[in-house]
Amino acid sequence: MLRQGKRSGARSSGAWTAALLLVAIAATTVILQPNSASSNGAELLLGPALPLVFASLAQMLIILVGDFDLSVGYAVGLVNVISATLLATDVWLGVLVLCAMVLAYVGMGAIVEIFRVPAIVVTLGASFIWLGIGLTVQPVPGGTAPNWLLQVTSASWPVLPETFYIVVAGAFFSWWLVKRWRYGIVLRGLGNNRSALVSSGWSVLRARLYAYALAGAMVVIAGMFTTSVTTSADINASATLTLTTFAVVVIGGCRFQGGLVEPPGVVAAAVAISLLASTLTFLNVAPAWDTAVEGLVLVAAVSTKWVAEQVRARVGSR
Amino acid sequence: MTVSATELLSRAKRPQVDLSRARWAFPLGATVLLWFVASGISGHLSLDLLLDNVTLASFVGLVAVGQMVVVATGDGAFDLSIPYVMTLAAFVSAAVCNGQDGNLPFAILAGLAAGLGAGLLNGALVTGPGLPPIVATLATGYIAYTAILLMGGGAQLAVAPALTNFAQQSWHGLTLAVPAAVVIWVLIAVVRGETRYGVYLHAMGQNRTAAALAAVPVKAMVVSTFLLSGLLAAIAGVFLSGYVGGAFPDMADPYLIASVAAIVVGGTSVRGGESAIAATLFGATTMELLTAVLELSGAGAGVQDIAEGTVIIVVVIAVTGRSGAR
Amino acid sequence: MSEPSTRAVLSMAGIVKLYGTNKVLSGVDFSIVPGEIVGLVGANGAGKTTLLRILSGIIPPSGGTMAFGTQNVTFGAYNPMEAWKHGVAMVHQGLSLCTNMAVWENWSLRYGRVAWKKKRTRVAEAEQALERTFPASNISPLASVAELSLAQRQMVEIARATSHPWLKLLVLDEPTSALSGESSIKLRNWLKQVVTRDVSAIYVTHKLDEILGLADRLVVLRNGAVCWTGDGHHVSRSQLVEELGGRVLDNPATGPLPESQAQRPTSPGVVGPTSGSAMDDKSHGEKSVVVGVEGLCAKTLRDVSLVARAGEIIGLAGLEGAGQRDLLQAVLKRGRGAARGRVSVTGSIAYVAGDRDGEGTFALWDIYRNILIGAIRLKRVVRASLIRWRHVDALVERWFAALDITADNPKVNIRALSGGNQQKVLLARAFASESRVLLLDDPTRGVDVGTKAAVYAALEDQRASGRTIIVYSTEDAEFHYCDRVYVFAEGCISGELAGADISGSEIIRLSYEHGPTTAEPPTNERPARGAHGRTVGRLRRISDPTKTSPGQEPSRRNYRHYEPH
Repeated sequence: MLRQGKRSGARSSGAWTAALLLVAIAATTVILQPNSASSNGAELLLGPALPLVFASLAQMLIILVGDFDLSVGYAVGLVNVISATLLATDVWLGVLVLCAMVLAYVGMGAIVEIFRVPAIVVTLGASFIWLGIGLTVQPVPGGTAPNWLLQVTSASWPVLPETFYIVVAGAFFSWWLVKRWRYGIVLRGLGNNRSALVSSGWSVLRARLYAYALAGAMVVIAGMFTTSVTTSADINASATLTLTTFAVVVIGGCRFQGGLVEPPGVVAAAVAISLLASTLTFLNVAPAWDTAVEGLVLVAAVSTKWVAEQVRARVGSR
Repeated sequence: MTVSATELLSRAKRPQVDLSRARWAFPLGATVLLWFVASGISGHLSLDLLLDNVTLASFVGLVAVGQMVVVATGDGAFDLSIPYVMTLAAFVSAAVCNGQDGNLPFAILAGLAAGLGAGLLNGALVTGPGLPPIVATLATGYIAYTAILLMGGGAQLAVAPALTNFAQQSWHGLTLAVPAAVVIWVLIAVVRGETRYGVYLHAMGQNRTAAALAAVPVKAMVVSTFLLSGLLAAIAGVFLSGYVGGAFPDMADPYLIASVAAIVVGGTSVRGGESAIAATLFGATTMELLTAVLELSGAGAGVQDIAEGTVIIVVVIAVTGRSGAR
Repeated sequence: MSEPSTRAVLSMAGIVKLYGTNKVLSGVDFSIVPGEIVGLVGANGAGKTTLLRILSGIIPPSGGTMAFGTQNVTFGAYNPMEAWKHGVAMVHQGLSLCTNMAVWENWSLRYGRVAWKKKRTRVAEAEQALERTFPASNISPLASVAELSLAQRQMVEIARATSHPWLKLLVLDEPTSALSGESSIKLRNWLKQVVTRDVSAIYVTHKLDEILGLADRLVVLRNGAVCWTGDGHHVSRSQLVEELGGRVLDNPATGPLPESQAQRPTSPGVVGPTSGSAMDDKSHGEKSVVVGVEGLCAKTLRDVSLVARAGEIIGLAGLEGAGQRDLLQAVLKRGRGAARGRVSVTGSIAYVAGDRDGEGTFALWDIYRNILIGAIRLKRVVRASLIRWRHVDALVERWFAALDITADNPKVNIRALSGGNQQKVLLARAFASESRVLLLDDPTRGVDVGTKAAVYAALEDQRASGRTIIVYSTEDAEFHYCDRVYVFAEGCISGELAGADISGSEIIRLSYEHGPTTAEPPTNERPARGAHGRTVGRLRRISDPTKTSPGQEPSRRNYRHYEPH
């Protein structure tokens, strides 16, 4: 199956859970909506998944180094706003501002590391700031998405919809970042054993800044895809994104401590949750239920993992 | 030693709070300062303005104190389920009332029970499978939200008129929520400062290992803090539904961030091991008055948010710098 | 050596280390030439850990000089990275592996700053290193560290140190404490080979049998100075033990006891209540047993039995890591979680932690509250759920005075106190709890002489009021206040001393006794290659408590500060 590509390198049970979940939900979707198996249908379904995929990857990178990002929702929303306003009118200024966004993420990382302030509070404050800027620039939903951005998700690529390739590319790239990139080892080390890093001569500050910079880049990508998919600017559309990314990283098999993340699992979980939301919409279930169902899946995933661990421990002791 | 310990002890004042300096001074001062600024902008010194914001702040203060107790246990404990539990309690009591006054006492109890149930779930998830508190409370929040939807939460529920009357009675903008809240705060202040529970709470937050070795029942304490937080969220939720005249799904959205902001501005470390009730409450009033000042000066909602966020970050850097990196 | 020899890889001269008035090292001269294996031995408190920390750049000395070859070291600029640049690879007690990575990735992490190599190269590097240090150990470089046992992780860490690109000096601090006999033999074989290539090694161990026959030169530290140095191949074990625990200055009455004068057979083995009573005074037999341990197997303990009666102070002696701390923990938990054996304790227990900063003090609190938490369970302190401050004041006053805590007043933050005074506060906490049983984990570690005296006096007071006290101490010469002392060696009790028999030299001798389990625990690290070339996690069998399961935290000793402040 084509989805094998996403799972390359995923060894932990967490990623497998996510993959299974994805397969199950995809199957359900196809059964309920036979149209979704077509190129157009898949495109429509996968499109909304893109923001969640990259926002979750951003969260994953922050969790990799042992922090939490409570600002990812509004950060993505802010990028969305900028993309649909500045980027359309004055491209280069817009690009500059988006780069500033990445730098702002680096700034958060610097505050966390230099002042030893818990990331939860820094990102909480930052989320206000993103929200504020977004509201100031675009108080009500509106704006226009630049054409070239719209092309990105509606282009027609051979065999499979473009969004599919993007998702796979995202999974592959993030997997490479964490597992193959030479500096990825340092990031993983930071999340696991800080003193080992220090005694090997690595700079902890630099490692943290890299992680935050990468997360910032993911946020920018997520925001731009939001614009591409929703074709407008609305800071509040991404309000619930933060909590959803937490759910996704947990379901995807990441741990909050110890530097254990599963990029393919995260991507699979993000796509799964998105498909779930789409399926619910198709079944005419009110959008409010999305959150509830997310919660159920979260609880189920966590319980399954816990039960699996208990079983493994018992079996191991025999 | 030439001076006896007795004399030394009598010389040193016995602290009522964990810290020798009064933590509440800064946020109280900030509140008053902002009130003056607000009055300056609006042109006259208005007690109503202050008391209006105090009322709003009292709701935040209630849940912020619950959040504070959870955070005080240390180890990255946060209660992210607070807004959902508030709403759930509001819905439960509204549903039991069904718009009539008859069942009101029972309805309120049902709401509180919902809060306690959520707290119990939080505690169980954290102490049992050992979920990180953020994930556990998130999950509980989602479950509460599901319950809300099941109770017809797609739309607004009406609450008992008596509750609305009670909650909306005001004297110059100061509603009955405030004295009720004050009573609760005093109770919690007593518990935290004068009981064995308070000593255990602050011990755990500083060093879980040392606390366990000193015979502190760590797991039971963790569960109790979530129970308390859930209960306070429920009380706030029921009261809030009376104040706004209805129970609707988004009613408690801002309260999560507001609760953490109040703690931070109050100067309490989010690493745990300390708590300061008066400071947290004044932190809540500070944030409310900051919002008021910004509104009065014509700043849009966006600028208000930026200001609040910046204040949180600046204060937390200053606070962490003071108590030193751990 | 008065001047650094140009031939020496490393030469240290006149190294002094003071912590306040506590002189931990008093003028140590130490040097090592290429191709030499030096064994560094010393009993508790001799100063070897401090010396190693100075060597590896973790702490600076108070005096003395150090040079690598002809290059002198400026201690202000010297740190572990500098040491590494000079070719020093140190394997600490305490693991510096990342558990979320594979074995080969830990190589990348360690050496990535020097040169980046591709995965294939690193994997080969790791494989070669493992194969040459521990041949046929079957640890796959692709295995995840989280799935390796404690012993395997130790092997990985040692092997990794040997991959240092310009390795000149390998420092191994208790490298075999987690390894089986088979693996430690492999390590020693490898060491003998590698030094022929002009690499030197410093080998610190308590296991005398290992170091005899391995080391070219042996250096014995005692009381912060080198008291003996000689050829490692031509010294007997008993001579070495004597050098380690000779005449102790503050107790001139004691000296090395000839074997025949020992009143009890020194055969290693279990000391149970019955054999204990043969040793005791008749009066002891009438006092009730408060703490009873029988056949306990938990963590590093193997079949340990002892008793403690009312109004007794029991000392636990022996080298660090021999199981004393595990015993205290087992008593504290009243035997819960032990694989085998019974622990019975009558009455309440108070525990004084050894790691003050990590397990003892509450850093945000003042002295008052640090004592308060000990007393909070007393009936008279809490009435109707409220704390009665008058009684707390009285308790704090009493212990403040009794222990002579030096501070302006009890409301001073505890971290502002010296180490000795912090220790006194922790004691006050335990005493204030008025518990029947007091367990103390090395209470006089890193404290000044005055504090030690105060502690002993306080313990004797507590005994007089009928408390039962069990004290683990690494101060071998200072067990005189104890009624009986159990000496631990490698997880077993190697001897019980009472009354006049308690002497530093006897304790040291018993510390180096073999336990009854000189037979190595079978297959302490038996990995099998899994389908993907990974090692499969070992199955932990409940019946053998000496093994650790892959997921369990390695139970190494805390690498604690020696300093009193």
